[in-house]
Amino acid sequence: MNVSKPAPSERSAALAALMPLIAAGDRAAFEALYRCTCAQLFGIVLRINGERALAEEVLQEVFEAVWRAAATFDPAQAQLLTWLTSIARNRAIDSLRRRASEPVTVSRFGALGLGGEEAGEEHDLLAQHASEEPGPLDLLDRASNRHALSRCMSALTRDQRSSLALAYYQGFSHAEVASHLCQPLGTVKSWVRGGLQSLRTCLDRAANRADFAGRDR
Amino acid sequence: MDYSQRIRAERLAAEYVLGTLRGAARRRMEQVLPAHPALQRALSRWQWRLQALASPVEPVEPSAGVWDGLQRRLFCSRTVEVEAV
Repeated sequence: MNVSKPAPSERSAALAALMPLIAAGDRAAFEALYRCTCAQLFGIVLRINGERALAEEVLQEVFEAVWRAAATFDPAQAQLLTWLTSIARNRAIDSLRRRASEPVTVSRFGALGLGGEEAGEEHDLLAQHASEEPGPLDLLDRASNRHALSRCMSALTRDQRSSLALAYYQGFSHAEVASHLCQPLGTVKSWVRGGLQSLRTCLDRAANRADFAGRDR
Repeated sequence: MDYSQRIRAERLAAEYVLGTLRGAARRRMEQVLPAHPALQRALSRWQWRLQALASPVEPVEPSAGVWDGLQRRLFCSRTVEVEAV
């Protein structure tokens, strides 16, 4: 198996069948795609940009991009949900540009457990989430439990996992992760880099093994 | 692409998908992407690797206004026509 061409799931395949129609200007197909995927994509956008009005604007941009770029979607290259998720994450991250000038300790990050606690408690604070919304590490656990990611994630150090979760789920930059974990920027960068490298090796090995087992059957 | 370039493309693609590649570096990556198939391949492999992370994110229904606004944005000339009739 080429890792860039996973077997498409049924749902993804059904949705992917809409794409040539959308590329040809079929608005009913576009609406069907919107109805089936908007909540999922909005959830992703909203985690990264928590301001609902802005997040809704981002969601409009996402679907505008989908409408305009439908012809460039190549089912041989990616599953549709992966393609849509990438667009949603990109737009959401772009919408954060102005956040870069804001200090990371402002109250909007309060839900992640920022407070006057000691630095040693940072990881526990990251795990507990004040609001009902699951924290980045809760989400990471759920993602890990369901997929081959589980073994690969558990092979990472706790610091690597925390850094990746904050970056992926909260849309934090290196500097924001560093500030949140009270660590030097260089340390966080090397955690992120090391974590990604280990993940890559481990996930690709798992994919090759799955492919091998698939051929045996 | 030589070895060091491949390593660099790998790293850029990974950080782009994770979201930690930011600002000017992120925009530069988007600009050079169309002309670099190897970078595109690295990117889609990383999108595939990290896609599982997105699945536990709870879906949230956007308000109905989003779809209406989207239609105005995309098909606004039609809307004007209809209103004019």
